[in-house]
Amino acid sequence: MILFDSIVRIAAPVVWRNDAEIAKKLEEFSATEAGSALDMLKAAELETIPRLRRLFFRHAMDEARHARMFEAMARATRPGRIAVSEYTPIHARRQNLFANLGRARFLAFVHLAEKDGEQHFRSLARHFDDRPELAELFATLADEERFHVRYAIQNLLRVEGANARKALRGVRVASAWRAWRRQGRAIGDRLARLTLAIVYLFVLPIFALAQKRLEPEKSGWKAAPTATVSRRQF
Amino acid sequence: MRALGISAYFHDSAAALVEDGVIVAAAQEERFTRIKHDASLPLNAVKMCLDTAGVDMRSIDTVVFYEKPLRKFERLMVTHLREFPRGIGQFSRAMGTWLSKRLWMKGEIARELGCDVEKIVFSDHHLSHAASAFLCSPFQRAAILTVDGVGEWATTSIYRGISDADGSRIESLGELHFPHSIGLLYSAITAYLGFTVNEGEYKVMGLAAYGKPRFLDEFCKIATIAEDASLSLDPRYFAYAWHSEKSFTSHLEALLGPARVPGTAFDLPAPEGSSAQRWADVAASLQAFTERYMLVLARHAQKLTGETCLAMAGGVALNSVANRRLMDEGPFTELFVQPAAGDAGGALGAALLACHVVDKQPRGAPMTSAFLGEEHTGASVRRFLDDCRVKHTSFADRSALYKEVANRLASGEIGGWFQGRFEWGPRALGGRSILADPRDSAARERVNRKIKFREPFRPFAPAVLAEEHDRWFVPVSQGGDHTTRFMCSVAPATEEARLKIPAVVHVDGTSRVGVVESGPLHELLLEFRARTGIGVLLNTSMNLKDEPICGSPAEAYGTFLRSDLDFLVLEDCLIERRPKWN
Repeated sequence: MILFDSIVRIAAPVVWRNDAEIAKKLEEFSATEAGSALDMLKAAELETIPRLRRLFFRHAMDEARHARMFEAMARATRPGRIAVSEYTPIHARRQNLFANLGRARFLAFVHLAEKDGEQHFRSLARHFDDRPELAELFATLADEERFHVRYAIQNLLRVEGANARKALRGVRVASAWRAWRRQGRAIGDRLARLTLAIVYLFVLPIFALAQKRLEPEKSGWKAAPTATVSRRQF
Repeated sequence: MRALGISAYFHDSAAALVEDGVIVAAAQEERFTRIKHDASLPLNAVKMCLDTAGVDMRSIDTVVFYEKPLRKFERLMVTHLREFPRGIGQFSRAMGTWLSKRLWMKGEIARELGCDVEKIVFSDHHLSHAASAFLCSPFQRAAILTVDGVGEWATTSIYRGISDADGSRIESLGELHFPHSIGLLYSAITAYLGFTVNEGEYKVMGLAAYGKPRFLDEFCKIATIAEDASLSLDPRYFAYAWHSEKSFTSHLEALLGPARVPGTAFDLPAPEGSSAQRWADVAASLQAFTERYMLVLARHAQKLTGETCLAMAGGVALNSVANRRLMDEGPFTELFVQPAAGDAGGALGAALLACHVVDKQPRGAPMTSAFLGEEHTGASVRRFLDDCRVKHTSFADRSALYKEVANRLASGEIGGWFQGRFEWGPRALGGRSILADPRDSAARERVNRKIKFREPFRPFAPAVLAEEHDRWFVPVSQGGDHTTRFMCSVAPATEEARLKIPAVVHVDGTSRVGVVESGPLHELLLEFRARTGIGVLLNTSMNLKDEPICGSPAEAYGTFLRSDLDFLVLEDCLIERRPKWN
């Protein structure tokens, strides 16, 4: 909680600096919740234990309601921001978490993600103590997330028993590894682009000149490559 | 022989499984991942194909990738050299992916699919399209046209397909090369009109009906059609060969006026002189030019091949308005269009090519059904709804379900319709559909704005009983029509249709007809006709704007909750409206 409060204290004055930014962030939250709802619905479909199915489904409905609440607050905060029509949907993206993680890790993921969400919302509720409508929204949602935190860990322990701790640890490690890889990929991508740009400017000119001279681009019908009639020609 | 065809790494990745010449299953990856036009290796689609056949990867004899990556790489390199130095952005952006991944895709495919690397072979992009058209068609001989943005080098190809006792052959008779492409012209204008490339082309086609082709002369400056039906684009107007994000230049805007900023409201019909009307006129001009070119191309193909039948594939073959003109005014008596004419269809073509052309297997029955996707049984749907405690009515007697749904539709309700396997290709043919009463033109407005959240100018298609087609829509003037089964062409609406089913007649008086010959939708149409005297329903795909069509019950339920649908039918269960999400 202290960590979240500290992060919010540092970041919020920038991230939530005016109504336009608040509306934008609320829309992003709405999209996240809606995406989460789709993931929970898919989990309900793929799960075979009836009790878990029901819980995932209820969770999906909660997330869907949260998405709607965020969207309504975004509209109220900055009327007219959602320009096309009042029916413009929030674009939600599913991550196929249940299929990718399996039951144990999915439950562990839900528990940890919802716990983070609850703490984040409580910190934001405190941050917006001068904006009662926002404070109330975040406090309400934090209370509701608590149910998700609890059911996920209870069922993880019930269904997986001794493996529960391993699943939690696995999700934490995977999450950190993903973040590390994401950063590494971003840096690697930039370096690769820079290298390729240098190659383009200093190595390619002579080949480019030759290409333009020897094989200028021409329109019109061309003979096709050899027909594919045998496996060797594939 | 079992051949698994795969398309991936560009857009619309897909997998298709063909077993002894019979198409067992085929699906786009986006239906599973819910990422529109997903380009990733179609692992989920492959799994579905294998599960449907009840086999694993060890039973697959050949895995055929739909194009040749090295030839594509060659084209990219040559283009970068030709466009030096302005192509620096595109070069540094694209080459990283190619050098680190794409060039080594054979290993990645083998690793990810868990198959022997020796089993993986590479077809040619346009040849895969050609195979998907000809080998699914009812023709034993045909001219084949494949027209799209670009494959390896080819943008437009003419083939002759022959099937006889010696198997099947597909002979190439010529091809046009990048950057001269009617598909890329269409895409560039799609971007100019503020829509997303590879996604908004069909919006441009719908928009065209609101305009007049007053920019046709300008389009003749942009693109020249030679006497031999070759097309040449003036590179001054296009940036797709070198720019990493834009596909047109300021010259195009100087010629046609300022481009539309994406997201700008489109209120049509618009007053003369307005920007919206100009954009509609640009769309109409592009459409007219495309139709003109397709007719020229078809005549050239007929002259080269001497055939009477035509099979088509490639993204441009999804232009249903042009297809109708080909049937009415073109030189061929019969036309077949592959329902998944875009890149996804390449997966099917690649697999069919391996079976019929390379392995010389005899051809079976032509493709008459596009229901090749995943199936969810009534029992699994009921269990899902029961476990989740979703209030629903289960119909043990299917005919009672059809009666109930027909009553609801006839009383003005709009419903989701989820039955059997999902469709192959971008059209909803009654497996994953949203249905409404076509008699009420307000239904169109409601479906656009409140259910699918899409642009108000976009039309809706009718699903019509086969036996009622000619009552509502003008049949083709000559030969056989193999396109309406898969909604691949439009037809002029009859006077009676304009009066009685206005919700499915576009502003230009045409409809993209889907003929229904059998299955649950056929039964529903019969019930609807019994109540209204009309064997037609408004039929649109079950998805929200910019999302893939639903594949599974959970996705259908998610769509139901986020829209204003009055009811949802999942197999034999009917769910009524609950409060919507957002």
